[in-house]
Amino acid sequence: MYAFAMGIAMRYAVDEHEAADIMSHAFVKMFRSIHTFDETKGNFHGWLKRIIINESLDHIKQRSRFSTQEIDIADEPAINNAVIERTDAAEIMQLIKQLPPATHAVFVLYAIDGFAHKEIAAQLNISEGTSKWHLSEARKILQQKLTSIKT
Amino acid sequence: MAFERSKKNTAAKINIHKNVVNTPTPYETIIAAKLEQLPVPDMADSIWASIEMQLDAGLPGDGDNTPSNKPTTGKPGMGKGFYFSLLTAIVITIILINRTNKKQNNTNNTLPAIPKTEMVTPVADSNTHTIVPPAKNNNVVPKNPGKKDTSTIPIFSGNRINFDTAKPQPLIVNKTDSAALLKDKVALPLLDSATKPPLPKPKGIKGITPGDYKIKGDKKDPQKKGE
Repeated sequence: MYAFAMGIAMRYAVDEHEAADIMSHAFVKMFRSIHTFDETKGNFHGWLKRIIINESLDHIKQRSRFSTQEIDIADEPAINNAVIERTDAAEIMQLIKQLPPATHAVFVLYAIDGFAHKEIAAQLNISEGTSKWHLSEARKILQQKLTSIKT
Repeated sequence: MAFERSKKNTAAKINIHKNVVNTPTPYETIIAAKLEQLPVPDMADSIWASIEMQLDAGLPGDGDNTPSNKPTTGKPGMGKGFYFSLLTAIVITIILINRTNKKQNNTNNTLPAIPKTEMVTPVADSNTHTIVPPAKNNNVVPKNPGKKDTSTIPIFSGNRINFDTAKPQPLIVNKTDSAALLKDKVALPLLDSATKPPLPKPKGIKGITPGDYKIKGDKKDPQKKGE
């Protein structure tokens, strides 16, 4: 349970201390609202994951603001998958954390936690276009960084 | 959510190569898989301590982030918790009242009876003028067995003082050894601040000072003048 929850918090936090802070707040909320958990709506892990993500996004919102630039289409980034395969997980995480906070949040929500742009837009109070723009930005930056690792 | 998205028919998209912001790229899938293996720092104890502290403090939540919140029934503050706390308060009050009543009863019942201390004064025989001393056992005031934090001071009829400072000093009771002493007693006027003693009567006649009595030699007797 700890590894599962901490793994989620670590993806959104800038460091382990912020992740610990997110974890403690999320668990307090979980304990306080345990009576609202409905087994018919989903499993417990999914419910806990949602609480942790919501808490993480609250942290991100506190320390950064989301830009209003929008985009509908973008070119597919040319990234060699072999490079990613060779790269350590911790190193990849470091690259993701170097992204601007809002871009970082959108990228993790979309690419790792599987949220749709509509859901991301609702969570972060931004438009779908803005969410797409942040994803595109994240891809561009990561492409550059991964290319530099390759060379 | 994520599963729903993956089920979407990508063939419906017109420009599949361009509209990539709506589908995760293969490298993103690889990154997601990699991050699942991310080692987590061992901070479970400190996090748990923080959770405990927050739960103990009972701080109100800053926003409800729970995904599925059922609406609460009843008025706010009038839920089960309110009735439970009210009931607890009543029970505690009853227990406290019972305890105080019991304590009062116990103190009334368990108060040790203080033995009567009778001071036996020596009996003076007026005929023979001999003093019959009281029995030895009667001189000492019996100890109060109930209270250990109080010390009793024995009263002796004699004038002998026990100078042992470690022992409690007895109170010396002065007694008249005969009734005759009482007879010769001179009654002194009792003076206090309220009653003042009467002023002594002024000497001489009022209005004549000692200077008026002075005889002056300058003046000649008028009878002698004619001679």
